Amino acid sequence: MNNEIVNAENQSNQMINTGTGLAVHNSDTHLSQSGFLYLSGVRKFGDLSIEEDMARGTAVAFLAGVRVYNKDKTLIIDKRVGKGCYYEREKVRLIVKDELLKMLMDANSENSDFDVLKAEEIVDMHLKTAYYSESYIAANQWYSGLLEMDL
Amino acid sequence: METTLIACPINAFSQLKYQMVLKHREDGIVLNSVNIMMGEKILKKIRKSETKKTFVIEKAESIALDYLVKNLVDNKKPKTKKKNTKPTKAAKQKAASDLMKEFNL
Repeated sequence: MNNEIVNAENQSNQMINTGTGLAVHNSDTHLSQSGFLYLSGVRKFGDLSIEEDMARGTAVAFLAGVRVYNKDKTLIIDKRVGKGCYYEREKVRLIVKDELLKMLMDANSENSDFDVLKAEEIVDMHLKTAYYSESYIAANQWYSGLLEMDL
Repeated sequence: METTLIACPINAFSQLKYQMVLKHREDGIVLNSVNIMMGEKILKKIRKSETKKTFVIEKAESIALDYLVKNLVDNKKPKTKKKNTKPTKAAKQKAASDLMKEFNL
């Protein structure tokens, strides 16, 4: 369960939750009487900030909603999810991707040059980096280690 | 980095105390108040107007315990709800435009 432990990242009140990769502010957590720890974590995606609301219990975590803010802190996406939605990083990534694509398609509804497939490919790629960059780095380091061992 | 959590032996916190203040009346001894104390300092004076003529010591302990549970355990109120604002069309349009510029779409 070591990957579930929240590690201190810097001098501020902000922690990086290694299970989700989210930056969580201590002030944004609330322990309910039911024993669930409600928390909001932030992930950077270029100029955008993705805020994920989750409820964490013993060996289970539920996703409550996802919000995306512009660089000037304006809310641009507010997606609530129903009760009982298990938290998975990939699930959240796909929600954000769908919402961003919807937003792009709405904004380009009269632009015939807009290539939806290209947009999807690029947004998908960048979101993968935002959500899994640390995993990629860890995998690369592991692979480099294997090469050095000459296996 | 491997992280290990170590649960240390449980220590009693001896600074937290409670004190009963009794009222001696003609018809008997009644509980006047319970003081919740940290060391020598009174944190909270809980006034009680007990009507029973005979006072039961356990009652004071129960009052003190209820106060501590209510204030130390259940005091984590939910944070104030964030403003229920909805994303506006203009904000979405601007965000889409910024995103397209950033990703060369």
